[in-house]
Amino acid sequence: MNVAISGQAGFALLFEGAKLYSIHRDNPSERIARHRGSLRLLLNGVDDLEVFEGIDASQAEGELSLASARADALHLVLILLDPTLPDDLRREAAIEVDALFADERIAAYLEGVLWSHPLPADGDLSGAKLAAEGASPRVLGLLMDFERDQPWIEIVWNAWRDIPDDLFANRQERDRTRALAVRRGLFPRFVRALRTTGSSPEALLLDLVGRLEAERLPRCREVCEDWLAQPWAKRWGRATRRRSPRLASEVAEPNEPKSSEP
Amino acid sequence: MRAADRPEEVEALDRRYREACQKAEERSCRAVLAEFEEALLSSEAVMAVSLDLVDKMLASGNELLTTYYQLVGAESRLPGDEWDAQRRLADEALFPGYKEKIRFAALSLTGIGLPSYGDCYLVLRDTMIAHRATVFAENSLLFAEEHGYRIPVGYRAPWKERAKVAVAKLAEALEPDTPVERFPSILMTAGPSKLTDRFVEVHIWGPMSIGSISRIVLPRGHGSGVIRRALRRRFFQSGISVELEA
Repeated sequence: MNVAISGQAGFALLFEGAKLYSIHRDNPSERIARHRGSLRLLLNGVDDLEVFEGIDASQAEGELSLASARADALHLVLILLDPTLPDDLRREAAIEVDALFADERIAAYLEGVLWSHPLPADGDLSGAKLAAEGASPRVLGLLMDFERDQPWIEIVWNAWRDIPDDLFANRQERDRTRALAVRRGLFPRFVRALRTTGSSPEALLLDLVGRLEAERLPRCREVCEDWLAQPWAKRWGRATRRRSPRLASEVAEPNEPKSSEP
Repeated sequence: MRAADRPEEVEALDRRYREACQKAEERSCRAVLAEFEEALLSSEAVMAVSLDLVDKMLASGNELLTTYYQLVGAESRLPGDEWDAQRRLADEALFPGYKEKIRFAALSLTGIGLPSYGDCYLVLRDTMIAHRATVFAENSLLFAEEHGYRIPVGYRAPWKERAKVAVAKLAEALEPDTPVERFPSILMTAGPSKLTDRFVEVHIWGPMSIGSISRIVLPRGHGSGVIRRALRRRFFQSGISVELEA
């Protein structure tokens, strides 16, 4: 069957021919029969759907459990970084993140999200480190690495933002590609490669493209080439392959609004 | 809003409303209908969402939250073309060109929403939605499908006319001795099989923020304790009252 899962909303929609069911994180073994009309209210504000084709019920339960744990982990890290919340709550968040961190898939997901954007101005890294001290050496380590990598994260994020709109069919495709790059951990891989002496741009390109290949993104390779080119040249003084200059007919109108990334 | 304000919509709804009142009078339900309509004037729009989604939905103004939530969220497509095609047809019929900006809620007399769609109930602030909300008598997706994606007039209205839509639809469910305590379940019924939920749908145009919420009803003892407490703290800081579900 085909399944759509939202970790944030904590449910999976199971599509079996013309029938629709949902299962929920609190009791995933209970299938709830749904009418098509329920889709609107179920999907209210949900935009983190992951689609799985041809999986069975137990796989759907496993994926739902993982997606929910990942959503919780992100939520808890944001609590940890939030200076408006009291210290004891942030310390408890560190302890709960630590428990989730034992699962490597969740640790990789958190790294993938955090490393894809510089910490916003209202994020409090010093307070988060204080809260994690003593509560979780693992989480403290993550935060220290995150702090160390901020300059690289900024370079990689800016390079993503500078990828021309014309490499994507529309705004939705651009946003979807970004979300997939975040979920598949492309940003931290890029950061690591920039930071590490002796990295090969060809190997990185193959790695990034390979991780997006299954998603059938039409110009995935060109997007990755464009993304890599400038940071790599700046860092190592070596050019990578970049797509040919755009034809005049392909260039967007000067007044067309540029997409505003978060 | 404009679609619900068209003269043909207003006239058709008026006609359905008058017919419903007439029939209620013939069944000696005039007094109880008046009470029902009075109650509907203070009905609220309630969104049922999961606990984990609340922070994300109300994050606007908090750069930390919006940044990271936007990074992971860009996908609301369903598997298989058929399901999305049906949604698209209904959306085009109801919200041509602006479907992405619509949020859905249900009309409630108690602040409790439909439980099968989420475990937190966000009660929306009347003054923040009155100018950008409409009500629809039925589940609009099913209704559009039943009518071949050509929506008949007389089933929707601007927010201030919500009582009329509900009376036109539900007057026949009243009996002369229906107690006021039954009004909430006449307006909204969570069906036993989840296939038979009945409610009046509210469509809200534009983004939700913490200022759009008048209060929140949280489930007891569910989800991570830290996440629940952080949410309550954020609501408290924003002056939003939090009720625990009875």
